[in-house]
Amino acid sequence: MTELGEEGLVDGLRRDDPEALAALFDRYGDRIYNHCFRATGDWAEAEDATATVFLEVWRHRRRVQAHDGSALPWLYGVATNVCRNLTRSRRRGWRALAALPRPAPEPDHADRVAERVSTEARMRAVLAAVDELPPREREVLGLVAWSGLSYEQAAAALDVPVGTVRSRLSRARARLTDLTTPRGDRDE
Amino acid sequence: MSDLTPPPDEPMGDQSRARIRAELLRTAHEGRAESRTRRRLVPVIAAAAVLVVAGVTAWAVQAGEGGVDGAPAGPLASTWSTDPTPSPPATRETPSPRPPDQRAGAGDCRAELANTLSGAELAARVDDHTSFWVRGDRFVLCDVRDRTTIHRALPVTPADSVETFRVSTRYVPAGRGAFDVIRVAGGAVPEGAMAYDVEYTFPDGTVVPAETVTGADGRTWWRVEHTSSSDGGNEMSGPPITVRVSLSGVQRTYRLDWASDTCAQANHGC
Repeated sequence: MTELGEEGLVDGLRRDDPEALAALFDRYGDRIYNHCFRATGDWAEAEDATATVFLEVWRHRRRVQAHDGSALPWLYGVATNVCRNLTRSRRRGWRALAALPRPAPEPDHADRVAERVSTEARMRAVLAAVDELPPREREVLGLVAWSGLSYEQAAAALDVPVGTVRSRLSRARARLTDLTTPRGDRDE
Repeated sequence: MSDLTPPPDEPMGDQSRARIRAELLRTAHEGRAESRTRRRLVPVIAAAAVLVVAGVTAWAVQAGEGGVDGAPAGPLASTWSTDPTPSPPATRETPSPRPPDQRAGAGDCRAELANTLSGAELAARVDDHTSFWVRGDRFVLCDVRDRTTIHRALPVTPADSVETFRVSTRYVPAGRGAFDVIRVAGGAVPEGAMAYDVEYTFPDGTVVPAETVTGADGRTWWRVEHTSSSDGGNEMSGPPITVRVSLSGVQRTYRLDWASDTCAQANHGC
């Protein structure tokens, strides 16, 4: 997971180096963007949330933590908090970013637009299906099952013990099995 | 719904990426300036506090020695000790060797090209600053100032779009909080073009025509360079950079959007 120079980036952040922030964004922007999409089911919201995540990273740069030499778990932790607040109050506060000048829409082709709409619909269906889970279990599911973090990384991201991650994920999976298994099959 | 597999990952769009990146850098630079101001203020406030405490203490000691209003004369029992307090041994910090500069833009053009157009070869050099590098049908512009700036790779045959005319922006500290803002753009002149003129109009009103140079392979390249001063204000509130292109008598005008079209570099931020 650790990439060359990442500890240097973490040091750079702590030393107020804007280039370190930009490099971190270059390196992990897409991963955080997709994590936020999986939390919101909306590409545009994911984009704004990603910007918010990295602005928060800068705001809390003195507290940045590296887990096994990587800032990624900490980044996911910030992203999880941002998205949690986002889903609570739907865009309160960070919508200020909408005031930024926006570029003209990219010349999307019709099929590209259709694809984005389709992926959003699919993600929202997935989110609706896991909506029955308690938020803490949803977050662990998102980090481990969807974003591919190890238990240890997810624990670092959520600042909880590894055992808590295991138990939350286990409970989440059990609940989802219950939810997705037809009643007749369960009774057998 | 039994399939709980999310859709596959997708990369963020280039324009969105550039916009967010530029905003992050702007915020970070502003935040750093504020932070420095705070850091400078802290010692001043601390020094002032020490002076106040020292003054009050001196007054209290003088008052004690004078036996003012029934206060017990003599040294303050719990405050002073006659035992010499051993001071920690003076340590001389050995200056650690400065680590090599690994920040983006610290290398020369060839080194910085590695992640953008690896293996590209020098095609033309405009001056000590700007050069063009080509691999196959793509090229990158390399501009060396306090750091090396690599533009995103573009087709050698220029597209009829604003992407062809994007500028890189480099803020070079000029002292007293001001910056020199260096903007550079360039590309290949379309093959077979009988007349090709490119002219940029910058927010300060300066009109800069492109200069051209012919490379070893006979291809002609154009470059526009403009330096202005900035006191750190929000340039996005100013007029946009415009580009007038004339190709064989046909004229087109492009307007560069702030951030997305003014941050053409690929190897570091604006």
